[in-house]
Amino acid sequence: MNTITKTIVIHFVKNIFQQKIFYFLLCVFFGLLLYAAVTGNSYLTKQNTMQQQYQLLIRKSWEANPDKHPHRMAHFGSFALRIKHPLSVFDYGLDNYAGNAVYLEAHKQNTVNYSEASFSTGMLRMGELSIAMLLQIILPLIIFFLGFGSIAADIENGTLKIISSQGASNFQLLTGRTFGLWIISSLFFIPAFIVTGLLMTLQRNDFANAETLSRLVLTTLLYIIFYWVVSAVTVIVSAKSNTAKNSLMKLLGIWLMMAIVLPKIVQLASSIIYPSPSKLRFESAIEKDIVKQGDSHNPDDPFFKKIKDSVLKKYGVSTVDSLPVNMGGIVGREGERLSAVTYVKHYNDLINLYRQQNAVSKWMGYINPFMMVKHNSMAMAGSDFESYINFQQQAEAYRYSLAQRMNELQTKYISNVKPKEGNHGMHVEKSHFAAFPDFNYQFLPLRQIISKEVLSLFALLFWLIVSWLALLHVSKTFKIISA
Amino acid sequence: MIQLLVKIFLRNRIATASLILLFAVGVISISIGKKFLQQQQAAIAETTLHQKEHIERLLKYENKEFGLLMYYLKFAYINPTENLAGLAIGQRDINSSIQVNTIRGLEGQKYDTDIRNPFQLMMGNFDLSFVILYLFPLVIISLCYNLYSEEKENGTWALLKTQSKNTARYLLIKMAVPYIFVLLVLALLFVIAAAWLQIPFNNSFVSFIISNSLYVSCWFAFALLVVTFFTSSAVNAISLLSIWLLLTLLLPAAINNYITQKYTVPESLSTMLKQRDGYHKKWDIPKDSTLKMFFKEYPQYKTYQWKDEGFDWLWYYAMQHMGDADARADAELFMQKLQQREEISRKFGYCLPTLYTLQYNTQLAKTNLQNHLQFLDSSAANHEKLRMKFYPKIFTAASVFKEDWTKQDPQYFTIKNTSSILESLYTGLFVLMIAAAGFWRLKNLKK
Repeated sequence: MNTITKTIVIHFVKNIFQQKIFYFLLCVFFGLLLYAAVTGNSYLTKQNTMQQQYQLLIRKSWEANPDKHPHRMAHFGSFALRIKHPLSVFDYGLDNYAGNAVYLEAHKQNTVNYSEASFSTGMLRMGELSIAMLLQIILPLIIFFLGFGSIAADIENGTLKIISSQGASNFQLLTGRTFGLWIISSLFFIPAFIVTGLLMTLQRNDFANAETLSRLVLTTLLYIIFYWVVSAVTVIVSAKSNTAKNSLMKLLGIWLMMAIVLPKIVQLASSIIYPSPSKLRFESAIEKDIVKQGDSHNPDDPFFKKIKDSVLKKYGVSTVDSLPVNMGGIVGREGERLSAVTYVKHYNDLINLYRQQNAVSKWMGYINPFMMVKHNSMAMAGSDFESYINFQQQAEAYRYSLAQRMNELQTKYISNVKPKEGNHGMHVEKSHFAAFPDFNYQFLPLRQIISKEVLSLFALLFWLIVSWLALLHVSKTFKIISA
Repeated sequence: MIQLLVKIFLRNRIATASLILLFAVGVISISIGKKFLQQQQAAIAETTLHQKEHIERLLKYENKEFGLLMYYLKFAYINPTENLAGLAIGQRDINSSIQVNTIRGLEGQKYDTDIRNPFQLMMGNFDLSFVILYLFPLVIISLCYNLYSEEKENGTWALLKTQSKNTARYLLIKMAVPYIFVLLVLALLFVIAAAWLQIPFNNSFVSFIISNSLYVSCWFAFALLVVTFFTSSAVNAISLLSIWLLLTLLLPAAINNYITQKYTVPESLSTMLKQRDGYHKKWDIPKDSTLKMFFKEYPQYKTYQWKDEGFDWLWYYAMQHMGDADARADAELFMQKLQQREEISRKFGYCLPTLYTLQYNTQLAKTNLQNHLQFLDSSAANHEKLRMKFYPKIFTAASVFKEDWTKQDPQYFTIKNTSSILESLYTGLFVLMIAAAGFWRLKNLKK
């Protein structure tokens, strides 16, 4: 940076420091920041502690089962409770619209229930106060407030001529003012990240690791670029307006469109372009496919009869009773496999449809930098769509392995002949149940998040380049002597 | 003078354009309401048809035992969507209005959610309620922020003062012009909504119209108050936008944060766990101890036969029911917790016109949490009714063909709107207070 630009930056920052409104906005912002941090942290801690406590209780209840038939245990099942990512204290993303607990049982994929939104009186729909919300919605508005006169005011009172006569080029002036405004914005957002970092260390869990730290660093980088873009927009609009008042009105209009109206319209458009199926339609489509395959509970079902015949052939016996393995277990295993494959096929179709809906909004990130930062931010905070879907997939994988483990136990230990008295040969020792591992939810690794957010991450680079080019273009076209 | 002011207002391109835009956006939001209603109706039609086919199919394959048929048979229970819901979708997109349950344990079924894209849910619905709550105020602000300052900044104010003795009256009439036009746009939207969505002109709709008109008036009162501080256009715009930001975004969000962290709902998980354990662990205890508990609740089934050896349907359904019974205390606490959330939200609503209008709109449209809780409550009653009907047939192993299955259409939940039309006037209090402050300042100006 040369001395002229440096002088412009220092002069601009000093000028802002002289305004009372700056200190007022800073105080209000810090107040909101503190409130968002305290309430957000309290909720996250309570929610995660509660979920972890119950996951332990669920495990305890599982292990407390006596010796019994493994198929009963497959139906006893388990639950998967979703743990929030520690960084979601920063950005709630769609976490509160996502389910928190799902019942896992044999043959049936249940819905993930108990989302925060389902407990809400509707107030949630007016918005949530998170640190990210302050950074995405409020801080840009503050930057607009502080920067609307950055060039326009100088045009109005003629000081621009003096500056330019001292040898500053248009480009130096524009980039200098942009950088000055960015420095001012950093006084707001850097504390926000310091607070987030502090909350990370406060959280008493083992999630705070290198992975979380790199997410935090990337998030900071994301916002650094975002505010550069916002500052550039402010300075460009200011340069293109002949009065400070006009510049303010234009910026307020831009803020309303970008932050409030466009995101809603995009959602609307995406649901019209890609209509979602109803629950009934989704479930009956699966049901139809499964009915086609055959019914493993029906002894006369032709498909499962074929499996039975092949098992008998394999062991060289003519009746089920003389088999060394349990027929029910083998048939159950095949039934579970087929129904799970069918479910996953339909589920993936549904998720891909949702992805298409969401992609409309991600593409909008190339027109609206507010959408770009929203998608990237919640992805880094582990509160985005992909992180949630990943939870669902882990839960389904666990459900499947539980059901199949129980089928294996049945195949191996359960007798084909029911004894006349007692339960000999009908039960499996409970130690086998305890040996089956607990559900252990793992956050989607950062590497995978990045690979799924390529579209939005490119939008970030796109905006960095566009803001630079725009500053260059405007510096060539704008005239210092106002009309 | 009024004619002249109307002419000036209409000649202002930005003003007319923003009104037309607002109207267009309002029409779009009504079309979204229409689409929502159509989806709801389609879902109900689909459910009704599916239930018929479902019963026919099961009667073909699972007709040997009544108990086995009832294991599979699902019954739909529907919370009908009133047409007014098209204007305030509320929580209806999150809380499913169709319950499809078997007569087995209800607590394990009734909280099942609809399948939805959570990202779409987060972005929210663009319904007329949203347009009125968020966008009307913005247009009002853009129409009124420079009512006085524009004249001052253009130098016409001094001229005006020499010509008119009562400048306060002039300002009021100048504000009345956009007020009337905005109300006209709102009225037009209500007429279109009523015709398009076929909203009956009943108590609820009238309350909806009154309350929302008052809400819109409230923003003119804010504008009046801010204008009477006689500051520059920029300061006015920033002040009004700050009020908007505070009332529509920051305060509701801050209150929401408070409520969610104060009233967490661990009862949901304990209900879930108790129901599962309550039912499944009954398999591990002697039959007669489960049945003893069951007969205590339903002594009328004491006389029915059951066998101790092997599987028995009476025992099976007793186990299922005892799962619900074991979870009952937790389920009650669960519902109470949500009720507490509802009450505290209502209290906060009395302090904020935005929050009040949002809650009142969804109350009238029966799309709020309260309505869903009542629906859940009544679905339990419906479940009980079905069980009482089919238990004797299962327990006596009646033939499934003796039952008239053609009469098993989905049942509907009904609830009357008990709120008085007077409640819709509540927002008027805000209007009175804010406008009074504005008038008081104007009156002082003359001296």
